[in-house]
Amino acid sequence: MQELFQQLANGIAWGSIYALIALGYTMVYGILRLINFAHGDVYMVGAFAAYYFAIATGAGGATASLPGALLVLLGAMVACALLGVLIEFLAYRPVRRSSRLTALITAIGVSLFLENVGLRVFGADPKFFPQLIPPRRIHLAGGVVVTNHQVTVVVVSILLMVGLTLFIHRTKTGKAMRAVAFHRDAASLMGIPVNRIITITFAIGSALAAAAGVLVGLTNPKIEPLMGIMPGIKAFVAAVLGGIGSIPGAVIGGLVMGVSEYLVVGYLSSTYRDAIAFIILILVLLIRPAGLLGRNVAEKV
Amino acid sequence: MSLLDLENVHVHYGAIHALKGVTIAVDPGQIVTLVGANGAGKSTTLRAISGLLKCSQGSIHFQGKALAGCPAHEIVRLGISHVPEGRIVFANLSVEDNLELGAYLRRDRAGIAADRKRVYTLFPRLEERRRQASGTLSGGEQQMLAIGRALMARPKLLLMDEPSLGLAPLLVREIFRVIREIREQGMTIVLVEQNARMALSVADRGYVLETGAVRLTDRADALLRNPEVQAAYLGGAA
Ligand SMILES: Nc1ncnc2c1ncn2[C@@H]1O[C@H](COP(=O)(O)OP(=O)(O)OP(=O)(O)O)[C@@H](O)[C@H]1O
Ligand SMILES: [Mg+2]
Repeated sequence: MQELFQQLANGIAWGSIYALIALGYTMVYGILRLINFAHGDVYMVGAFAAYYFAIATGAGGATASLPGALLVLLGAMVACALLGVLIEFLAYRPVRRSSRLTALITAIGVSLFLENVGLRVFGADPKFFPQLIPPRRIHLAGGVVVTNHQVTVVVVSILLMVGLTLFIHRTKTGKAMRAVAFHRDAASLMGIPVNRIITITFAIGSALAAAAGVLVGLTNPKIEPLMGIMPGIKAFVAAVLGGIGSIPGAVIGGLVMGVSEYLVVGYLSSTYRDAIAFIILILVLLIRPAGLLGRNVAEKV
Repeated sequence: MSLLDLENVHVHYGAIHALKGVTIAVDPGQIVTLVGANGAGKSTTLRAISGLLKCSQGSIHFQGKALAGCPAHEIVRLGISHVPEGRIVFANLSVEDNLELGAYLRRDRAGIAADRKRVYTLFPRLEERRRQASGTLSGGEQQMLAIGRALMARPKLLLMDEPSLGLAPLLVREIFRVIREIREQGMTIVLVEQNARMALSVADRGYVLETGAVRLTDRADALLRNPEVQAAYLGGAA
């Protein structure tokens, strides 16, 4: 029983990271019907941006402080928001009216580009993420042990998700975003500037990926330029599992993915940890292609 | 001078030549109706006016200003609202949120609130359902919402594409009552309808479109009495 709860706790912490990344996939897909394969790499850039911010501001190690950590988080989010906007503008906008295959190939190209620029600029050797928050173990009931880093991951993720939900449902821009996702032309007939809304979507999705990158640096401090590939794929599977285009779906999908991985690690073998994502993907595609919360609508053009 | 002028407008969908030199003038305060068979180019004309489609040739002027190159959301700002074919309410948003988006470009809170009230007076049923997801509304209610949403931009010109399509006769009459009411409040309207008889009976002027060109234009009452129009679009003599 203790083992089960321990793995659940670990799984939820990891799942929150997947959920944050999955949100970006699902938002961009919702609005452009594009699978942004570069999204995992934006998460990688987020981790590195935080790494350099932390070094520059002295926010890590002995001089660590909560405001410093928040500043690093914010800095990485802003940097990646700009990167996301740039990717959309330079790579995706020019092919927006082309076929979906063109867009897909472009996305893969952007992904390879970011990975190789990362190898070049950051170097292939892993870097050690500075400790933004001094680690502490927290003993929960039943012998379950979590770290304050895991708690931070979950709390920050929840705050960001609640913030996103409020933004999307309560603000005019958020509603415009849902309108554009539903029907682009009808939205532009309301006077909604569709391009600006798409830009904002990329900014938010990329900022969330950056937050995931920073949180990962907290719990797994080894970062390297190809670190986005696997989590990117898994978060994509999480988004598909939840129903791509659905925001609550991305959160649920991310958590299910994280928890399943840790159950596999705990009860089978860590060798199979990466396989579970693909098993889930195959099962979803076979049993419920629209995902858990996805609507089974015919695809719009 | 007319409020809206289309001058020899051509529109292509790829290789398909959908509008072949359409010229239309709409005077302020008038209802102008476009009638024609399926595929005649009625919706295409409206989409060209509201900037969803680009003209390959010809010009469109609104209040003397050329609309060429204006993106759709800027045309809304100039004062043209388009109720699209098939309504297209934002199904996952509530009635109230749909209306709020209709007023997307406006900043005058008081004016927006007043206009929302005006829409609810026009369509009391929308007020009853204001928190309901608009995708769960009936077809007629969705049409009311689409019209209300367009009015929220406080347009000078309203383009309506088949507002009565698929509605029961009672609701069709309701929609036409509202069209008259909106016009009496000073709105200029371009109305596209399959139901040519109803459309011509509220309109001041009619244009008959055939395969992408204006076949005939006249005062609406004259078109209603025109034997050719009667035979082709009104199901024989009234
Ligand atoms: N997206 C499109 N792609 C290609 N051709 C189109 C497209 N939309 C319309 N057309 C063609 O343009 C012509 C005019 O279509 P349009 O929709 O304007 O007709 P309409 O008069 O509104 O017809 P209806 O009464 O059926 O709504 C038709 O021949 C149609 O097939
Ligand atoms: Mg039509």
